[in-house]
Amino acid sequence: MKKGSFLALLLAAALAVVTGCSSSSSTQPQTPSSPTETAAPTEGGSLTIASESEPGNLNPHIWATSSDTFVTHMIFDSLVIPDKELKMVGSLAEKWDVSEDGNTYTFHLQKNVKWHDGTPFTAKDVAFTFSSLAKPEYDAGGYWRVSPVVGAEEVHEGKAQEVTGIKVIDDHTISFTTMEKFAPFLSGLFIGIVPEHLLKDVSPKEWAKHDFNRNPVGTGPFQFVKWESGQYIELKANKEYFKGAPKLDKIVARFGDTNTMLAAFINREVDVAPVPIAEIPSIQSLDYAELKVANQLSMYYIGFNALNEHFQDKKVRQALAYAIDKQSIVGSILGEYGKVSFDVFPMNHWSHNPDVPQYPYDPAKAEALLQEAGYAKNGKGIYEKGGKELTFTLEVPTGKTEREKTAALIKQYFEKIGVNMELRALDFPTLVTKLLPKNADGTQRKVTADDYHAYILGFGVEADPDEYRSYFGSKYMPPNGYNFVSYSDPKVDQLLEQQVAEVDMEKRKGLFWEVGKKLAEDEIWIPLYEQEAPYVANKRLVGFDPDFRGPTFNAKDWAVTQ
Amino acid sequence: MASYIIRRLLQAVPIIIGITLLTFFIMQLAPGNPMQTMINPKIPLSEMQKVQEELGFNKPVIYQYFNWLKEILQGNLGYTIKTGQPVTQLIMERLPATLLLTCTAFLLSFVIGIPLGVYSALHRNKTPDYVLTVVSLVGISIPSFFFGLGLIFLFALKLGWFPTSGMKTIGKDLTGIALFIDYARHIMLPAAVLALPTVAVVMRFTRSSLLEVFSLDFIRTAHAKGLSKRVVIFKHALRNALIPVITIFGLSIPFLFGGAYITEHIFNWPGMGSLGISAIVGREYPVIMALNLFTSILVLLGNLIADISYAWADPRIRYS
Amino acid sequence: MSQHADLASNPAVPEPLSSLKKDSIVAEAWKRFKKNKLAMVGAVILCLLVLAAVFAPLISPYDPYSSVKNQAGMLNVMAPPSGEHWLGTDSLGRDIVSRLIYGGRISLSVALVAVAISTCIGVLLGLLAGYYGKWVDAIIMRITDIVICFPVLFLVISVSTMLTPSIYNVMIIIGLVSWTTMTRLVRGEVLRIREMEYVEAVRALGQNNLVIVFKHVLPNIMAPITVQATLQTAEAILTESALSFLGVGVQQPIPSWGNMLQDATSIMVLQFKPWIWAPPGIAILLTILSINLVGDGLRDALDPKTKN
Repeated sequence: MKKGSFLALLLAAALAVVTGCSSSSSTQPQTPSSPTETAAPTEGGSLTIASESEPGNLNPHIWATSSDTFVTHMIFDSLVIPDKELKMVGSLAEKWDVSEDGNTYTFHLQKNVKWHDGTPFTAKDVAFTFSSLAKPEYDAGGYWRVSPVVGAEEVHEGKAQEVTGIKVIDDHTISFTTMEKFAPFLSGLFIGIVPEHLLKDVSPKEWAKHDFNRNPVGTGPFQFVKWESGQYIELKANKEYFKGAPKLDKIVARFGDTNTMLAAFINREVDVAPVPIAEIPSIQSLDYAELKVANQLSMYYIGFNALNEHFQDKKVRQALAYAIDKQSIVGSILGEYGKVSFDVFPMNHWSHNPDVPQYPYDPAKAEALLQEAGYAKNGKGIYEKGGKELTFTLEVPTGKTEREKTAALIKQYFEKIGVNMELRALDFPTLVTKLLPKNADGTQRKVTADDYHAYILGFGVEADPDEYRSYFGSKYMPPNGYNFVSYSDPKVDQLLEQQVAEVDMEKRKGLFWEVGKKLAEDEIWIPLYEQEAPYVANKRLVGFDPDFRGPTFNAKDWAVTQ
Repeated sequence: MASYIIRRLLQAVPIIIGITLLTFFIMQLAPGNPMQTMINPKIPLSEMQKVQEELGFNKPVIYQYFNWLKEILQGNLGYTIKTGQPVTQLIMERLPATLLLTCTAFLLSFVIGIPLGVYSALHRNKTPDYVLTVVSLVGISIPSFFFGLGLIFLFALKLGWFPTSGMKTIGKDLTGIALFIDYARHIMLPAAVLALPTVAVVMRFTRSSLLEVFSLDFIRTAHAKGLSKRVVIFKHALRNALIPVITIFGLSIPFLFGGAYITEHIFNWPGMGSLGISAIVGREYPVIMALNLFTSILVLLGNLIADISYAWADPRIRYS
Repeated sequence: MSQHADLASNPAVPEPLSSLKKDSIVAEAWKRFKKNKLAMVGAVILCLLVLAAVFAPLISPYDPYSSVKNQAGMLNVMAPPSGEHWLGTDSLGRDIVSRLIYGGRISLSVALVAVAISTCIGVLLGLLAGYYGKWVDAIIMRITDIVICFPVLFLVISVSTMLTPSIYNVMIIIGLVSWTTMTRLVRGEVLRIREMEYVEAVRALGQNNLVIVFKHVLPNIMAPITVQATLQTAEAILTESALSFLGVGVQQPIPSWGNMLQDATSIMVLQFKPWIWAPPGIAILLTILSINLVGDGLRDALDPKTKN
């Protein structure tokens, strides 16, 4: 073989592969620009929408995550739903009255609502749904919704069978009586109603494993057709929907990792896909693609296991906060779609206090704090105390590239000051099994110091900031809530319980601001950044309007042209 | 022949037992008690203890092994940790897709590999032979994920000839010929990625096997007798040369099943491979180990079939 | 595989080799190897790669673990190739040339250690099975039959999910599961050698079995072992890169060619930033190609009969 022909051979090889494959490319013509934008939307048609992770549960009451609500928002209805200003408006409840003492809510339900299987929807279903959440066998994260109701606590503790505060007045009227004034009560009702006739014989403990969880029946605009695990969930229009039939005939929710889904979008196999910020350039040149940016009421943070010997000391947590150059992370990874965050409350929400303690990038101060906390550098240049190196593992859920990159950068920042952090990539459901650990028999148990060290996640206001109570209140540690960082502070406890009964908006805001301030001081979570959520949609889709409530919130109004 | 088959089948029994032993041993490395995942999570808590005792939770590991084996033989491969779905059902749902992909790649390997090998042998030490030799070396050397990404880049993203992922167009109810074409379009790229290394191996093997036969006496005799080159090649040489190629059948099976994991992952092909990769990301040990068990037994079966067909093609084997 | 067998049955070889004769055989093999252009190309590339890996700290222009900042004070992410960064920077603003060099160091050392482990196991088991025969052989070969049924890649992935991911675990796991081909090969070779006159003669002299195996049998099958170990190295590099690509092998931020390719799963990178994904991919391809070329060359050089 002659010299220099090596490259030629490689090229020949590539060519051979090309010709080998192209021989069977009998496919539809792919005209890159079809002027479909001008066509008017038609009734019917089908749409494929991509999600970055497969739902875990389709029963809305089992540890709902955004990958679940992505689908369940289309299948289920709730009594009330938040509008764009996060004000609760009626959905299954046509209207409601509040008694003069502010403790009793009477809901007048929509008539002529049917479950997807044809059974009429009644107030009994509502009563069933919320009573179930109070049952002692129920342990999937929704008890807080019903806990303020009279009698719920007794049921939860196994002392009573019926939640006395929930009264079915007639088929279309139901009332809830709370023990005292409870400001966020309405927003707690923003959760799908499930059918009594299908679940009444199933213990709430079994809900996760019951067929209903993978084959749900709701009242929503779309009804479940099938779930091909690992691939997609198919929904079809509920033509009898009480708010009017959806315009689309069919919605297919596909899941796969973000890049696969984006590639599928570019190839026009899906119509809507979430776009990681770094990927935006790849769709900007497509004439059939439209970028839709959804504002978010959430922030990303590092959470620490307060039971861990290093993280018991808030100086260590503060030191780590000073060690992170948030500005640089945001500037390099999020660009115009992100902002540095110092508060655990999202900055676009009224609960956000603009004046919380901040931790600007200051590695020297970080080291000083560590030394104050009794740490000294060892031979390897890593801080240690009492012979224990400041070494820990950060659990990094896969799926959001921005988050993964942030974790990698933070590792560099920590290494610079002499803190060794290992990264462990895992999928979100696996992280949940660490944060909300279970016993061998499947029941929830307390978090221990060994379940995890630290993790990186996003969190925000979904309906009402009262959700933070379950994350920071000392009595809400698993299995009783989401306080998996095991944070415990009497002042925060008191403030969080106080805001519940505070119906004066300004005063309630003040209480949350106090909470934010104290949390920023303790830094059990290090807030990192907030980011907007870009979606890309095919221009043939009309009415796609994602916001903080999720992309599928208004799926009923979507239509396709052509 | 029949006695040979029976002998091979009997030889396979200890291997199957060994496979289960090894799988069980690896399972012990996983965190938690692997036997717990064998219990149907739907059984009431009150009966849990009884079932655990039956499975030998307090007994030595070897006792647990036999109970585990019993469950496996009854078709119970355990339940997923997070959703409590039966693993057997999950695998069975994904098996057809993987078989479709591996069989297509398998066919491609031989349909493309053998003619190229013959061509190469006939043009020995000439340019086409060199080109093919280097191409096959590249084929063996290129990492499948790199090649796969390259194909997606070129044929799916740039040219738009093939879909980027999946097995069929989701959301369209196609039937008949349209459905077939849809499948064919989806399978092209992953099958090409999966088949490339085996095409290369088959080609190299065919070439060297044919060259060896060319140098044998009877071919020379045939030439001397004045038979046309075409007759000599296709009637005498090729037949003899292809017998050893059958061994590649057997060798390529574990390779294809192993390669399917990466390939399916890259193309989001809904088979056992992508099930396996998502189980790995999700640390679903019951699924991972069941897949190991399942694929290794498939591979064993594949090897058996290859051995038997080899013996059928070349009777001398049966008596050795 | 049948080619290796010929070496052992070659009547010219079986005399107990004097050191002088060994040298001349090596010299002759080298002479033949030199004539093989492709193999030489592979050897040169391989030498360069190994040198780069060994002297990585000296030749890397930047620290492969640190993100670099640009003038604006932001991290210089995904910068295209320039005079400053010959192959640009990756998605975290780290210099690609440096990561490529260090990645080679990691990938090559993982492969070498893994192959050392698998070769030791494979040769040992093969020697035992081949030399002692009977039940030793039967047991070892059944174990081999069992392990060979598991697709190596998935087995390696499965085991690595159960242990904490680290370079050392990757090395050990790959080594522990990929010895089967070597065992079968060595056993076959030993079976032939064992029956040869001089081994029988040594045995008749009452030599210790262990001595016979290591002093008389092993040296005579070094050629096929070397070839197989070389090819196995290519295999190990592929396995490691696949593991790291999937995220269960070498973990970020430690660079390996496999995990550098993870960036290429980004459509944007794949489409518009080829300098990020092409170099590690080409590096793997070139390395494996070179090893395969060298392996083929070695086989031809050590066994003149197969190539005429």
